[in-house]
Amino acid sequence: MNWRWISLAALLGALVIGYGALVERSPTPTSNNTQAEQPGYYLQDAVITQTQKDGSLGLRLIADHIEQRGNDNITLKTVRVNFFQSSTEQSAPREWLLSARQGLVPANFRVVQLFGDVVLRPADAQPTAFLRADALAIDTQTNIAYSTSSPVHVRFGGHSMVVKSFRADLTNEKVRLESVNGRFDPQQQQ
Amino acid sequence: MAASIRNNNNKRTGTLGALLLVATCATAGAATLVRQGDEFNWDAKVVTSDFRTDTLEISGDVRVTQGPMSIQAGAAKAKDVRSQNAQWTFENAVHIVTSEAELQSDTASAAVVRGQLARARAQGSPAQFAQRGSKTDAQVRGRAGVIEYDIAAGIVKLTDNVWFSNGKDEFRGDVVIYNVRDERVQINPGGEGRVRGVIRPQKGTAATAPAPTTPPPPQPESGA
Repeated sequence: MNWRWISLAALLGALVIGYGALVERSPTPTSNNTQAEQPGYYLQDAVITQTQKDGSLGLRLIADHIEQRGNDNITLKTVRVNFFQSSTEQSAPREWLLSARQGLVPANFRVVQLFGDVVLRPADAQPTAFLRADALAIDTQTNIAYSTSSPVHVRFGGHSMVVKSFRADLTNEKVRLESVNGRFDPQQQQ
Repeated sequence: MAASIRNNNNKRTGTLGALLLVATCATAGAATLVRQGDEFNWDAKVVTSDFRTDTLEISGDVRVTQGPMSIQAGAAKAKDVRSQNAQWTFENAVHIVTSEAELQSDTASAAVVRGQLARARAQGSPAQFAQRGSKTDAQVRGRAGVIEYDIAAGIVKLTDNVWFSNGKDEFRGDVVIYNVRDERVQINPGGEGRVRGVIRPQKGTAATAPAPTTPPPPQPESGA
């Protein structure tokens, strides 16, 4: 008889513990407002390549540090970018070189913003032809680079220019500079 | 037919003319020229380039300056801008000014040699030249289809339907070469074509003019 009561008590205890364990394990609904921001990924000495529709290389991005933020923006430090463009009926294949101290890629990847000693130049052009700005943005859909700060310093051969704004069409390589003050300054060539 | 004269009709016409010569020469002697090391500056509203063809297309109130020299135009194109010897072309109301001369034309080109504005070539219908610093009544002026200006040497060459005046006398010919510094004029120096001139004696000076002590310079034949 005693054993009977002991077994019954053990069974009840097991049920209680089991129920408790089951209740503990079930998900507790939590509010997003109280959830801590998810940390994004980060990359050191990263090389990212992106291909074009035809499979050819479209972009190679090299950065000392890449970090994804909670809002899905990506920040870049010490950036070097090679833009590759396939040939079209109007143009030969082209490559542009871009470098900057910092960059910001938004979640939709549409407009890349670069800051700090930004230099843009065609890869196969004379090294003395380049565009240098404190800040620059590139619309990756239209392939247009444009100034986001003023003034902009441009070096073209022996001429150094200070311009109010610029717009560079990376597809046809046309650069438009506005309100230009130029100076022939061959000593300062890079 | 060729003629060579100096803009010193004062020697023929008396004391007043001599004063004019001195004044003109003093101005020419004080001319400020572009010097080595003078900054070559330019500005404009818009510049387009493709970073590849070594060319700048410039538009909107284009102004180029170096030392005392300036060139203004509505638009310009600069070629070979990577080198020290660039070639600039200007269009739309071109105005070239140095300390010695002034040119106005429809189009013009300018050569930059070792970073310095060295030569200009103005074309127009007609292009116009005027010497700066001279008195109004001794204003040396010229008009021609083409005017070439060697800025460093101070020599102006007018070709194509040339009209040239020293403020009093007028000449027409195919080619006129004028040195803005010693004020010597050569008309049709190659000896081809006719020189047509109008030489106007100064009023009231013939009776009082002293006899020249040196032979007068050769006078152009008037074909008029």
